[in-house]
Amino acid sequence: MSRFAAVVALPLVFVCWFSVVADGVSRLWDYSSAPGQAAIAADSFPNGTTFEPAGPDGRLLMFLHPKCPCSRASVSELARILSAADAPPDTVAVFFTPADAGPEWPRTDLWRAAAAIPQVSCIADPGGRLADQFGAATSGTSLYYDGEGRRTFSGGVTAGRGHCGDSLGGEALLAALNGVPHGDAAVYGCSLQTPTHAPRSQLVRADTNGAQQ
Amino acid sequence: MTLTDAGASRTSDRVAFETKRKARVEERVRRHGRVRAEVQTVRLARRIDRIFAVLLTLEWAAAVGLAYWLSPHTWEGGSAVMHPHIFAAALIGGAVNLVPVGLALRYQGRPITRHSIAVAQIVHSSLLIHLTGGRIETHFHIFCSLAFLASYRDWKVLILPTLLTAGDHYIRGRWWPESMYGIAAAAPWRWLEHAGWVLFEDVILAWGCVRGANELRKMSDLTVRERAALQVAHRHAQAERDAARQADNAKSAFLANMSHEIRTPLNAILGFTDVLRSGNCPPAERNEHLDTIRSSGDHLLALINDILDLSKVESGRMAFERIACNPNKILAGVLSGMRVVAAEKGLSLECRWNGPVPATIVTDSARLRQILLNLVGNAIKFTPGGCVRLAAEVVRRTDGRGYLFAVDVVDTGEGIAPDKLSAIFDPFTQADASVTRRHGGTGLGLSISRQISEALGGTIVAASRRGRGSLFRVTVDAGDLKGVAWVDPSEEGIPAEAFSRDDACSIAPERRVRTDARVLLVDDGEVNRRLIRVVLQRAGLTPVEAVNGHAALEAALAASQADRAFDLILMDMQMPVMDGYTAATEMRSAGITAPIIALTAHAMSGDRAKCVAAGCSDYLSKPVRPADLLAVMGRFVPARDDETAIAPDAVAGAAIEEPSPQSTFVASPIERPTTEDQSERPYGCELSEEDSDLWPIAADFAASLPDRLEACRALLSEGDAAGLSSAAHKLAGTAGTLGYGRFTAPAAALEKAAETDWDEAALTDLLSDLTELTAALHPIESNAPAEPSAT
Repeated sequence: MSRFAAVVALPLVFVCWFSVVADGVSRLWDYSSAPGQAAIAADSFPNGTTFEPAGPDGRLLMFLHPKCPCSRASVSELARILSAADAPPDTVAVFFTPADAGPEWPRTDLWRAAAAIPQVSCIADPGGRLADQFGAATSGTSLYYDGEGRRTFSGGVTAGRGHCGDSLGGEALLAALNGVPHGDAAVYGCSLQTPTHAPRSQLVRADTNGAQQ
Repeated sequence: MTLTDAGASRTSDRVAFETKRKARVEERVRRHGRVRAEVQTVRLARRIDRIFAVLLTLEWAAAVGLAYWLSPHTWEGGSAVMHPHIFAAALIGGAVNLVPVGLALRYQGRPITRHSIAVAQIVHSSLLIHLTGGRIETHFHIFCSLAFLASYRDWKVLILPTLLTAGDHYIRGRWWPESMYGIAAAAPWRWLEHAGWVLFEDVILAWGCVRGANELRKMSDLTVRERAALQVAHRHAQAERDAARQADNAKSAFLANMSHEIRTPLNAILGFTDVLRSGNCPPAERNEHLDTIRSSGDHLLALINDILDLSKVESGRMAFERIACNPNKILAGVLSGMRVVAAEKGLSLECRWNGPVPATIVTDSARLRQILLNLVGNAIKFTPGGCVRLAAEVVRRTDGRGYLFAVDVVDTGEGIAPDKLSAIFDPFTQADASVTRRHGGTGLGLSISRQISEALGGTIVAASRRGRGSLFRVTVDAGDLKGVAWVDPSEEGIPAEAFSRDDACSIAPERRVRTDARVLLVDDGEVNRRLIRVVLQRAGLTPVEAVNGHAALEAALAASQADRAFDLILMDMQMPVMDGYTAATEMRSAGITAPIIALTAHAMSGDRAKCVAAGCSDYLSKPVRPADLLAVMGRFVPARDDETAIAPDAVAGAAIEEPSPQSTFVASPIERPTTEDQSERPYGCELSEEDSDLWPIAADFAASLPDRLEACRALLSEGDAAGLSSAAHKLAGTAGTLGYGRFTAPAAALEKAAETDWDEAALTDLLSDLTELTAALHPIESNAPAEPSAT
């Protein structure tokens, strides 16, 4: 190894190398830790939906994109949270389906994984109308309405995109299920809205108050 | 110092030398073991570097494949685009691999390579964990990576991955605990918990690395020893096989020769007997045939006697007696027995003693006489004219135990070609086939004589120059001469004075040097200049001296401009400032036409061409013999017809070729006892009395040897190959010229080893050999067995 290589070239190469790798990793980290659009959900269970009113244990809705890879972690965390809850509520996994897609489109591994969790029923949401009604814009968005129809939790249950394990959202949802809600959380996942949709500000939601979100 | 003290001192020196030698060998084995272990470690590292280069590439491909499999797309409602994880795996993985794979291809085995590989491996772990959504199973990649990195057997390679892992956990745990632990307020020690598990594995792996490296070193050490032992065993086996093969060949050749040698006279006996029995033979022819039968019978008898002697001595069945006998009488007996034969050929046969004469020596007088008769008989047989001389002396054994009785049998005969010299001691071998036809003989005499002399504790060696004569030196063990009287040999008619070189046996120089020739002597060595100055002064010349090529060039130019140009230049070729080659070239360029005789210790044929190409007229390799020097000078500056200026001493040594340093004759150092008149000759110096004016120079040279060797050691420790080679070159040349021929071969070997193959151990060994030779140059007076009496 020449003196030039040892004193100048190699250190320079290493500095550049560390910089490039560090930059790449930090960008990946940024992407993974960037939350999706939070739900703009009403404080009480909206009227005019296809769902029955909430039972005494309330109702938990999780809006999912059937092909979102990040949402595997959300379903996995959902199973863990429900098993940990004192009284698991009726839970519906609402799978976004494009308006022009067939009935098999949402039947993915994610559907089957959600369907395998006790207390969880899966339904398709053609055109994302339900998601619009509940103000959910990101796959993994979970909304919990207690027995009296009040929303006590809104957000995701993972610490990042597709990241399994403990998270603030999971902890908050479990607390809400156990009757001691303490806040919402960020949600990480794919968007439930196609880019051709009208801007969110123009969306009109059929909530109980008819308020525009 | 008494003889016993001297012996004890020598034994102690030998033990110390042997201890040092063993320590050197042990150190060399250890060093070779270390080197071998290092080589093995580097080889291992290079192999693992290559494996990691492949592994990193595979991991990169696996990361991209995994990203595509797990997260092919990211969705926005019904539309999908390629997932950023795929780009991240491709770009980050590629960037991570760029440096370590590049280093693994370019700088295999270097620490920097494995450390960069270690970092890349940990970044790959991080990437994989990320791509799999933080699955706990993927964390095993880190532990597997550390284990694989440990196969470098370098615990330091674990440091960077551990620091990266611990640092990542610490930083993220402190500033974004949710990303690491999923909770906003993780305990501050949790990063330590994670790092602790990594450290736990590190400790185990580091222990394995250190242990593995130690075992590798031990195994390498063992391998070096085993290989060395194997090599020695192989050499021994090879030597034994060669010896057995030679013995077999010798036996076959012996049988074939014996059969032939016996058949020849038998054929004559049987054939002429048949002729005589036929009765048709005239009386005159009958007598002739009977003479032939008789001579054939004599020859057959001699042959059978020789064969029996040879057979006995070879099988160890020849009985030798060792009794006190008078060496002077043995010599006188040989002379009286052979003088008639010599006189018949018109040869003079003389014997003299060199040095003190013991009254008795302990040997087998009959066998010694047999040897001497054979050697003298051969000398007479192969000498058509001139003389045969015997020079006897007693010399101290090199091991200090007793003395040898040595007799040089010198003739002015045909001489023996160098390539035949060693073969003449083989049974049935003479210098050439025609010798037997011309001179007769069984061809067994020398073989028997050598074996008998060896059985008597000595040997026979020979030196010769074709057309000039031969020298056979026989030595036999003389026993311990302590208490033996020293006598005057002239009682037996043998003079006590050594032969002079200008006696009838000497050969006059072919050419003489003009005494008024202006000679420039160029040599950087003071000793060499003194030596050549003395030789030239003997020849009546007074040289001008220069210490290097540059000074010589200036002197030659100045003399030329002053119309006192030199008639001849003697030029050492290796000198500082300006060497002889450059000086000769410059002189020729400057129009100096004087013959230049190159003096160099190099004896290769190419050196002569190199000297001639530089402009030299002739070439003499060191050690330079005075006679040769003057003979060569005489060709260029011959004496005028009316000039008889060369002193006889100046051609000392011209009569008989001194054996070369490589010959057996000189290779065994001889210590001569000395009388008072010889005490000025430096101990161990082989210069004859005729060269007594060189003795002071030789003594100074001998005294300077320890300093010269110390300087060589310093050059060795500094790694100065050129300096060491030059110093050894001068030592080789000067030693040989000053009668220390035994130094020439090891010094020349040192010179060659220094300039061709810098093996410190081998160079140290050669220096040790020279040191041992130097140590042997003790003053003789203290070791003399007894005060020689001059009666």
